[in-house]
Amino acid sequence: MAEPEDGTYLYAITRQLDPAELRGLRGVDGERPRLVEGSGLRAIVGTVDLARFRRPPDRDLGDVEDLRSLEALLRAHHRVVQAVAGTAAVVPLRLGTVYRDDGRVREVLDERRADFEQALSRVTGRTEWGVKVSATPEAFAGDSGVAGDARDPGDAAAEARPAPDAGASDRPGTEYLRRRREDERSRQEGWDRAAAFAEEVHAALAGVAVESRRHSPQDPRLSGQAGWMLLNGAYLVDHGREAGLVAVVDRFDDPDGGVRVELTGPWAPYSFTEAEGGAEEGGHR
Amino acid sequence: MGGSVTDASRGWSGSRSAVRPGGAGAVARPEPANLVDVLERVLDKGIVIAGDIKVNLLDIELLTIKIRLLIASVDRAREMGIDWWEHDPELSGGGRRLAEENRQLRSRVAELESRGSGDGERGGAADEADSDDSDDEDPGDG
Repeated sequence: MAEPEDGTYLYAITRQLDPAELRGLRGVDGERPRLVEGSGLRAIVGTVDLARFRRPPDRDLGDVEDLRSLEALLRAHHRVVQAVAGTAAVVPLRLGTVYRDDGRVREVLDERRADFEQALSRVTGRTEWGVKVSATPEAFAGDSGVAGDARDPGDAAAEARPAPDAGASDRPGTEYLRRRREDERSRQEGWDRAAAFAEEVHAALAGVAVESRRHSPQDPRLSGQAGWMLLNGAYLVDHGREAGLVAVVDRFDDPDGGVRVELTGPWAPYSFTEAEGGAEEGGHR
Repeated sequence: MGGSVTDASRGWSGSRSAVRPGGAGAVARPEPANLVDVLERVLDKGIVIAGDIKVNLLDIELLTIKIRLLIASVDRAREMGIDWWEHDPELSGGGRRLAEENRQLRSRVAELESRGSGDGERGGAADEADSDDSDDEDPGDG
């Protein structure tokens, strides 16, 4: 067995941070996060066993154990980043950025100082919030454009409506097609309304935010939320303007009408670290 | 009937967590952030700079892709009945993009997996990340 070989895991970059803020934290390898200073910046790092990060995960992600260990890793990274983000402007690193030693981290701080400074300026005095909008399929069914006017649960549009032209009963094929068309039209209108609603919510939130991003809708099986996810947005909001964001969320949230508008956060500004002007809709890579 | 606030942070309290003054939801249940919310940020967002440990980057990329496939699979979405964007003129472009992205991701998974098995014995000293900089997205390219 070879001697354990250490590396330096990088969590986030900040300008100023009281080391006391790191007290009590544990990192991705159970280590105590610490600071590496250089070029007027501070890197939040941890000493980790390289073997842990070098070993390829040969099991499929469907493996429960694998997902659990991945979750532990994600949450550990996230905990450290969030703890720091609560007290200072930070640029969070994507999971899994590891250097051979602290000296390499100082080199990177020096080489990339301008980039880090720019990224920090962008997020200083601001916080990322997430807003997810989901709706039951019924919420936008029916003839009304108002989400609150959701019709009966179930396939409201087609099933609940008694066929008005009963004379068609002697032409079952025609009747079937008519109902199919009507059903399709009704669903189409439901989609249109749902999409328009998502646009409206996003626009209202973006009006409060300095910057915004739309992420891909989450798979309900993973998010644990039923219904359609209409919007999965991230909003970078100036400190002090949070109430405006909350007001928008409250305005559109309508659980009784089958529309759920959920605010998550505060988040470290993960969604606002890519190059300026890039990926307005996010996730294009 | 406010939206619910999930406190995504561990130690992030104080003024900002009181964003909902007197609101119905007040400050949230102190439950940990939703895993999917965490992973879509930690694995897919955040600044990307090249580390020294190449194998690790490769692994993470593969994980990222697999999880994105889990999250954003068009096939699965359709299966689940969440295919509304395909029928929406505004969003159908996004649906096609997603489908295209997924095709690309799948081929990338195959590529990485075949490379990964070839590199299984990589071991030894930490590899320099200089031979594959595809992960090196600079934060400021302008």
